[in-house]
Amino acid sequence: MATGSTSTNISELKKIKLTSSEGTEFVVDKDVGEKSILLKNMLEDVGENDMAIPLPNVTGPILTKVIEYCTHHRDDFFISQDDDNKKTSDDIDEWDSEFCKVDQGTLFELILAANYLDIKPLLDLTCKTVANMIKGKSPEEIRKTFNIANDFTPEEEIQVKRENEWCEER
Amino acid sequence: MTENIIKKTPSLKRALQLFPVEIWNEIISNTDIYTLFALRQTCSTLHRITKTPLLEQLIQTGPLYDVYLAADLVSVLPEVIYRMPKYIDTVIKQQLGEEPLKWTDNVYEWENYDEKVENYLMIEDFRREVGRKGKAKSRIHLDWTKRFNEEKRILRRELAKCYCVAGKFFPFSRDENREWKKRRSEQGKSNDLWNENEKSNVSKSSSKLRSSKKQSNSLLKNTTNRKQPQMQSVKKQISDDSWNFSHEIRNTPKPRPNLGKGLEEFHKQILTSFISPDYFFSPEDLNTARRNKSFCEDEYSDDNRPPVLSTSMMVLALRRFSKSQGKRVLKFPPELTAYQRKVLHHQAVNHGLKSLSFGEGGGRFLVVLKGDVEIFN
Repeated sequence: MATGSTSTNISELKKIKLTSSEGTEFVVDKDVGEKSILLKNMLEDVGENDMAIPLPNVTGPILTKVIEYCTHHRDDFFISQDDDNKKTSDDIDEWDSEFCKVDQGTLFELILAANYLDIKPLLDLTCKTVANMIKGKSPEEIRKTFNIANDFTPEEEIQVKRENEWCEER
Repeated sequence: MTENIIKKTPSLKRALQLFPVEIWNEIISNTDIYTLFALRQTCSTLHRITKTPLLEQLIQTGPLYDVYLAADLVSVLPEVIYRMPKYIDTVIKQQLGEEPLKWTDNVYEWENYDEKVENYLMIEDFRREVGRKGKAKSRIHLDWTKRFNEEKRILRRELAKCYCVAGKFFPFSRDENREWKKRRSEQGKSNDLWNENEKSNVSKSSSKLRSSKKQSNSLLKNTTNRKQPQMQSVKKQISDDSWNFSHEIRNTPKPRPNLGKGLEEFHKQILTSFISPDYFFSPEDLNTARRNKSFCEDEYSDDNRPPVLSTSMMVLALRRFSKSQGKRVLKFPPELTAYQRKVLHHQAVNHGLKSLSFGEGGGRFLVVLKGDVEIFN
């Protein structure tokens, strides 16, 4: 316990620099940055270094959001191995649901960023939000929400529809 | 950056342009069965991705779970469900308890036992029943069978959904199919409405079509179009009484536009210039056939069948066709029975001809080709 607390104290003092795709530099506390497994591994590999870490896949506004999330959850202990208990709990806490009230483009960007940076809780949260968006919707509504192209051939479409007729049966 | 792109081009995207597979999987793991079914119908990628999670959910959350446990030996997903029908009976028996005795010699256990009726009258009735059959059915057994069948019906329906998702056709019995069809026709109105809504969104080619039934016919037509452009009229006529199951649609070959393009015209020409058996009958033949009922001695044909359609007449036509010059395609009328077609198939092979059947149900008909005509799909 004692060693753990001291190490966090030390790491709190440390800052790391991140560069978004536009080249904007962000300075964050090290423990916040380490919520991302990608950054954590990078920092372990690189060691003590003052260089900014480039994140070419993440834009500035998205990175701001991600940092906001990580800062809010900086004290939470993320259990990355144990996702079972996370998946069963469908309820999203209040701050998180507020956090996810963004336009769809941003939300999708957030998902991709969370996936890229390997922040499991953020990925879970955003995916859950998307899942809630599509819950109870008809295929056509889902297509509209995501702008997904209907790439079935007419034959496949009929087949799928017919399969579904069987499945609707109670 | 990408945000702007989304706003600038509200054009449609493929599912995988939106997210990679692992993110879709993550999203899918948070949805319920209903949503999964909806997702399945959105596009082909999601159709594929949702298959396994949907099967898992269907098996593990529904009433099928017990059957799954009973059948699960190695737990390979799509294969488990094909084993499951065998275990349905066992599982229900476990739930309901063993089957009680079917026959009884006790009045109180008799199926027709009625408390309101005087006891001695009841006993008399019972004696009569026992006297006639030697035994009487017990009420417990009757109830048990009822519950058993009901449970079985539910489980089989559930399992049929799994088969659908896995892309197979569930081995329904005749009765089950009939019952299902009946219920569908009762729901017919609402379905048409649904199709009406869908219609506007479906691509141009299918938007012309009114109902789902017509759609399936058009599919049939599309696939056979190249072969018999002239036989569509036959198809239209049969389409009303034939039901096309999804596995039939699945098994119909997809049109392959690039295959044998140059040959197509040639084949069209051959196949559209077919002749019917009547071509080979002289008026004399027809008269003999009409007059002489014994000429069409045919155990399978009923009395209403015109004698011209008898097996012997057909075989006669076939023989003449095999010897004839110039004519290359002989089309038999769809009124022939399955047995007659079978006989003619054999005869055709014996004469060194090629034979093929087209169409479904009542409209199935046989086409015999000269040996040098190439068959392609």
